[in-house]
Amino acid sequence: MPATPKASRPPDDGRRRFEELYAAHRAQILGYALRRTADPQDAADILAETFLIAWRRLDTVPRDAEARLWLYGVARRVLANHHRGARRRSALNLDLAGRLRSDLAAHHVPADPGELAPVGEAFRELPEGDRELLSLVGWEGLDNGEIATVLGCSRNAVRVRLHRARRRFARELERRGASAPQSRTLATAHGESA
Amino acid sequence: MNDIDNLVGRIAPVTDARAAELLSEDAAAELADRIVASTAEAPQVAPPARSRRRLTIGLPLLATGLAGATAVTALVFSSGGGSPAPVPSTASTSHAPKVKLAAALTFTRKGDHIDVRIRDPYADPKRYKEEFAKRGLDVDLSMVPGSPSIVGTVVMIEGDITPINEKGACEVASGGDDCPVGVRIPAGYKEHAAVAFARAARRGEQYTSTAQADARGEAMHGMVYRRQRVAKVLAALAKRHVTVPEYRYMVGNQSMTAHPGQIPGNWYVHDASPWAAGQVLLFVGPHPTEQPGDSAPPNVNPGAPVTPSSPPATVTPSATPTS
Repeated sequence: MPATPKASRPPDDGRRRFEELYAAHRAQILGYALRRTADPQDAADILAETFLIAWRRLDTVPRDAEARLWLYGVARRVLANHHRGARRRSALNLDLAGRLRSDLAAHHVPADPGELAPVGEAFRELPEGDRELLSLVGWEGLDNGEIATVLGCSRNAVRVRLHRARRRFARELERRGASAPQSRTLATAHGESA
Repeated sequence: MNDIDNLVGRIAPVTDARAAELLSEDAAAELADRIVASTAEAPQVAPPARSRRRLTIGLPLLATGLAGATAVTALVFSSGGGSPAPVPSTASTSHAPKVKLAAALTFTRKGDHIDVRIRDPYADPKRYKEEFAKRGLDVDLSMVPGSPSIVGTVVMIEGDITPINEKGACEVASGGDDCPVGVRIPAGYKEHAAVAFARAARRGEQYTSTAQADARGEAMHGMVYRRQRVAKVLAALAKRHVTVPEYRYMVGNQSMTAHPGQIPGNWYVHDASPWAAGQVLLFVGPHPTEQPGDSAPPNVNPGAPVTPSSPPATVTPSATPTS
């Protein structure tokens, strides 16, 4: 059967572009959310809302590697709204959250195992802004320029603020007598199997 | 200061790879459908300028993709398992490997970071380690057995090291074509870093990293099994020659392990997870979905025998369906 000819801009293009974007980045955005909220429901909401916004504003999503940064920027604002209590349980993700919850239970990873416990404590003591910067580096692996894109500020501002954040974290660690643990076991924190 | 970033990285509760595992293919697809259906009209998009590139360079961490990855591999393998091959110091560009013995990695300085490409995904990890060490980098790069749909993806990262993905670098069983071809590391990085990619499992080898059991390319792709009776699912699995060496079920908040024969056939399957080639783990319970008050199956003595689940040391390959 011949394909029905569509107008010059078939709606399918949008859908396809969205699906590519989604396939390429959904795990990163879910990871971003799960690293910042303990509640799978919230994480599912953040994933759903971030991509809903991406769908609605598909034209403004950069087409290159910056798409990921754009999505982080959106996820960040969605997350901030959740933290502010403006929770809109999105009807989009009805059972996604349930599934995530049972999957998370099945793949349970203990938080801050052993020697890392004081590190986690020190980290949680830091001001929100410091934590955000440090985690964008340490968790998402972004560099200063990328962070500047996500946060919508200058690279230089990131550099300065990050420097201070690292210093405060180091001080906090020192205060707790926790410094970089020596043993670095490769797989412990990440044992994957079911 | 990189020490700090490294520490922060190590307290990350969930990696992206794990997030990918948690989001099942069908849950993800369902969400996408809802998002797209949520607006009556598709948003305006500029006409697509994309043409899909097929890259011939780069790594195919996938066994199947390896064919195009140059003949270098043969040289690498011929260096034998014993002493690692000397690494030519000229291997810093990807274009001209004047090799006597090929490097397993190539290093390219780009601004303030170094891009490291994996030329030989099957090299002994010690060789990677040494090639990194030659550049003053302390990096462990390893390949772990993964279930089919995540082969070629990053499953673990430690330190200030990021995977370089290339769209079109491979075809993965899960349907994507965005695969890691190497890693990026800041120039002059002195800290320890580690990254693990999933590789295809050898015969009988237990996966250390898995995707959803019904993801495309996995043992249960296309099967309906959630909320289904255990006996029915086992029968369907048997047709695919897939066995179940172990089960998990919840007692209160604790996940418990059971073995073939201990789970009543009229229990329900809640979820499944790939275990090894031709084997899956089933999450089961007495109700169609997990209920807070669930208890042990009748033929498991609630006292001692089953223990809280942790990856067991051995896999029972001879699991047979109960019904």
